[in-house]
Amino acid sequence: MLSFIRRHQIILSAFLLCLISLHIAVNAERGIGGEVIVRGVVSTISKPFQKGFLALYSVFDRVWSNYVYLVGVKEENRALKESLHKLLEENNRLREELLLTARLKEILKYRARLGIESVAAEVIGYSSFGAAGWIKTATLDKGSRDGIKVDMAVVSPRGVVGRIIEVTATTSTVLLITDPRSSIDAVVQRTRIKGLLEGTGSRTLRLKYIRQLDDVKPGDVLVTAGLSGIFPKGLALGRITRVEKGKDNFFKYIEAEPMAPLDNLEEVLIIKKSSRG
Amino acid sequence: MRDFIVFIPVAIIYLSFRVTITPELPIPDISVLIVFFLATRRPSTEGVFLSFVLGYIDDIFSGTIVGSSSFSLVIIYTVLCFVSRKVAFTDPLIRGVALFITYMIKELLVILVLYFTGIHVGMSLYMVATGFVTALFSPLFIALFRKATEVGLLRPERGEP
Repeated sequence: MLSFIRRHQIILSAFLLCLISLHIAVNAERGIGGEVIVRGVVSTISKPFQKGFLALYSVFDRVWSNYVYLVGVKEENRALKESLHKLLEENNRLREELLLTARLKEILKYRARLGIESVAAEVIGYSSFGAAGWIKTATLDKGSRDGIKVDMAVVSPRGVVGRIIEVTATTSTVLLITDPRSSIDAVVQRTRIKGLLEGTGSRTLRLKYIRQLDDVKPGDVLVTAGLSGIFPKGLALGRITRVEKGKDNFFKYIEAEPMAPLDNLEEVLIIKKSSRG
Repeated sequence: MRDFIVFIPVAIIYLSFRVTITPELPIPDISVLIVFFLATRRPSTEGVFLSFVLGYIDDIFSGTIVGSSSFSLVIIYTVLCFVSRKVAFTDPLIRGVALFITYMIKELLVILVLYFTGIHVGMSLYMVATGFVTALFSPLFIALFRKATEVGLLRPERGEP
């Protein structure tokens, strides 16, 4: 009997343990296998290891997130920067279009208010030559093909810009009112006193032939007199900035600044036919 | 007794790692690897008991019905003891295939026990993947166990002093 057990001890012990296992499994709900006790012992042993593994995992995760993962971030960053530049460009373009629309609206409104036949043109260049840069002209994108002729008036919603002095098929040149070759009959809006407004070659204008007794003071607005037939009557020319007693005792020395922003014009109106002149 | 002293802590640490870090990932089944190694190396009563304890610990960690894995591992150990008398699991490929089959049998037996306790579960892709990974990594684990035997941590192999 003993030798039988010894010979088949593996099978016998396995059979016994299988029965025990099944008994424990089937009666698991009743806790026959001392599951609670064994679980407590195992969890006590395994807890420090689990904590250690978690700490290791945390370190690994941190290293991965902060360093290894950042390798891909460099490429992502480059792509995002590129995308940002494209968006900024687009944003800038849209902003420009918005401003252009606003300006064109203003021009159209002004054109309707003028009630005169006119053509809208874009300023495509400026000229400022000579030793002191006294020549003040601008090039427009409209020419004889568009019906533009010499001596047509050029205005902006803020005021008079100048007159056409040269025309090609597709472009035209404007003599700005600040050019020394420019002289326009002007009227002081407040007192209706007439004078001649000339360019100085700088950013200012000079109002000539105003007598010492005439009532003119800084801040007065100058408008076109409409005598030459080029500019319609009543268009804003400039604002008086300086009034002094002239050297000759007859006339005052008067300086004015143009109403139109001549340094940064973008769109203007060319008056084809003056009905108010 | 040496096998107990080495394999029980190893199993606890390994299973702690599995349930803490890789609960969703299929990683080699340490219990099956140990039982396979023990059964094909030197069958003994101690091995049967160790299989039972390993199964018990496995059940505790995996949260399944306690007794299901111990039942299946004891049966696997016994069957492998007899099979290893006829088949030599020296070739890594044969050993890998045998381990895959062993793992699948273990899971089938667990499912069977669970079925009799009123829990109806089926085979899953996760089980197949775990079996595959167990077979794939078996050369590494078996080599480690052999090394442990060489340095005297485990009982010597069959026929050795």
